[in-house]
Amino acid sequence: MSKNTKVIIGVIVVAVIILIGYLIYKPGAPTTKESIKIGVILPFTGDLASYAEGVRNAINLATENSGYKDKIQIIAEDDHGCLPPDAISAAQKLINIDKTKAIIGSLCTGATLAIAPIAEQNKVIVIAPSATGKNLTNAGEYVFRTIASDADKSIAVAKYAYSKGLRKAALLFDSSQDALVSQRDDVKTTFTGLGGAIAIEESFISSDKDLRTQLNKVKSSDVDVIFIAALPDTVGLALKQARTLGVNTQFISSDTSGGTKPVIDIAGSSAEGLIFPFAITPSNKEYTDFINNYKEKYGTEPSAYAAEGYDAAAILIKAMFASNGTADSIKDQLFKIGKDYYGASGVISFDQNGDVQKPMVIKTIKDGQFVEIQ
Amino acid sequence: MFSQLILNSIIAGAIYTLVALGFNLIYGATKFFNLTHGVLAAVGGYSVFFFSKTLGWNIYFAVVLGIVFAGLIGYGLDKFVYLPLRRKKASNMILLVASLGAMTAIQAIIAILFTSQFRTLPLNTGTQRIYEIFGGVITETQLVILVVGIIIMATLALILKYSMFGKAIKAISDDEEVARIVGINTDKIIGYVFFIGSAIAGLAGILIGFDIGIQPTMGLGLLLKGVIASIIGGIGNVYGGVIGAFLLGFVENFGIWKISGEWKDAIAFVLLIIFLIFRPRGIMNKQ
Repeated sequence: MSKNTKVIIGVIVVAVIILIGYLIYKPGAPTTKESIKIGVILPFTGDLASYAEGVRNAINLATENSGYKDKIQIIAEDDHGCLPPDAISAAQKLINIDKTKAIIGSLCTGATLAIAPIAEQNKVIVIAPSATGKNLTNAGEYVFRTIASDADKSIAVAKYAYSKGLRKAALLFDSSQDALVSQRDDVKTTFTGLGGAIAIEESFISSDKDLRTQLNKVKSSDVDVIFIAALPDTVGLALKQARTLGVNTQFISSDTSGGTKPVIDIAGSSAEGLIFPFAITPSNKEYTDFINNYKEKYGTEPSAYAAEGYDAAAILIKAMFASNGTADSIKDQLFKIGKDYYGASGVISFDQNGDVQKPMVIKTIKDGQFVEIQ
Repeated sequence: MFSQLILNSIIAGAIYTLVALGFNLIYGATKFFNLTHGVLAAVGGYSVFFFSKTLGWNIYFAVVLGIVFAGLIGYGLDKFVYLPLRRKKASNMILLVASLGAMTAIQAIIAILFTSQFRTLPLNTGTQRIYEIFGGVITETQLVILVVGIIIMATLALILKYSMFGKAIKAISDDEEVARIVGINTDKIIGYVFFIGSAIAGLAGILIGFDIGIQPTMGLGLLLKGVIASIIGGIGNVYGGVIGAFLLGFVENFGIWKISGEWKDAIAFVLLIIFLIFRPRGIMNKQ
């Protein structure tokens, strides 16, 4: 080893030691007694990462706007595309090592259902910003969510379709998402209960981007309406591929995902006429403030579920600072604060199951805009 | 319905062909499983996205830049990661792990630069010209994918068979040590192979971007399909990759004709396992 190499190695070693020392004794990390820790579990990597980023940005924004910025420590963990085992290990880490008393997440119903029992056992609050599956309602007494359950939406669109004279339906759904599968069940029971018929059921998984063969099968079954339960990107791709294949049947999304920007971005003119249920766009000041704040800080439109993530974080922070630190006290505060609360995603009132009801309408896409039809 | 099913299979096969071609070319010369191959498709796709959408440059120019850029990244990976490892006589296992690391890193960099959102490339947002063949439809982009796949296969086959460069690759593939002894600059040739293979992967990513869309995570899924195509066709064999790719496309799409679509990936891997058990050398490779 030449002298030069030794000097270089020496410099590198010193630099690394200084860096490590800095990271350990990093100033600014909240160490005061009154500081609170909030765990976040979201799919930062994988197919759902874009929503996770939106929700994380919103959580950070809520932290900054709370007035307690320096006293809040956000610890974010990845569940790698809503994988339940990864969500569980993330929750265990947050609860046992970081000693967090509350967790925001996960994005999907499946992952949230997976962490609910652990949270119950350890008395930790879970607030889900976007898990819409109806089976989350009874997941436990410490589980809350800031988005409405799916059941009402799916039932509403199925009734709407029947009332418009559509009788023979195809179901196209993402079988890898619990929430979307339960939507399919709701649509199916409601639609057949009214007297409609399901001619064909076709499934795919979230990572599938080529749905041509499924659409082809739907095409040959000659239906009046196609109910789709999929994530926003996939709804867009399905519409685009369907129109290219000459499938001009009416599409109805059983999920609010039909009313998100990616659908129009991806499908373009093929998105025209898509029908979907949607929570009424809030008209309160908090909603417009949130949109403007978010755009100012991150330079983009908030992603789907960002507003719900903002509310989850904002209500949780308020509740935690008002509480005495125990989960039961935070829970009581959540019920107290989460009553006629004007948030970025509309008015929030938790019921005894920690669910929220949000007024809903049926919308369609016309000239690239989301318009209300009922 | 039936003709559309055949067309869908052909389109899927053409996409897998592009991935398998580059993968096989690199595998043939280096004999290691290059996991970065898939992510270079994402590099190509995102380069075009950046040059054409962010900077607003001419789309055809952006495509050329994207292909070259993906090729250069592949070349750079060889020069700075795999070549030093090969010189140290690292085993193929170590090279595989290194390529896994490189793949994860590149994927993360793309996600940081462009976010993880699903994106579409310019040409596919407008209405595309659609061609009807026996009642089935194929879009202009898909036709381009098919034609490009065939052209690249033919060119590659000609180069490998008739040029000095191709003969050198063949020699390295047979025995790198001997090739070096007879005076072939193996490091240089392998560097070129990485450039060409990666450029083809980049092109595949760009074409998929036009047809469907791009995402930082698109690479791994593509790579797996390309690898299945390579193995069932005959790993390291250029024609084998093509045959394997089309076989895979047909089996996948016809497989979900009577059963539900969620089984598509499972069907692909069952096909792989059947080949691994009964004909591990693939369709084209001789014993």
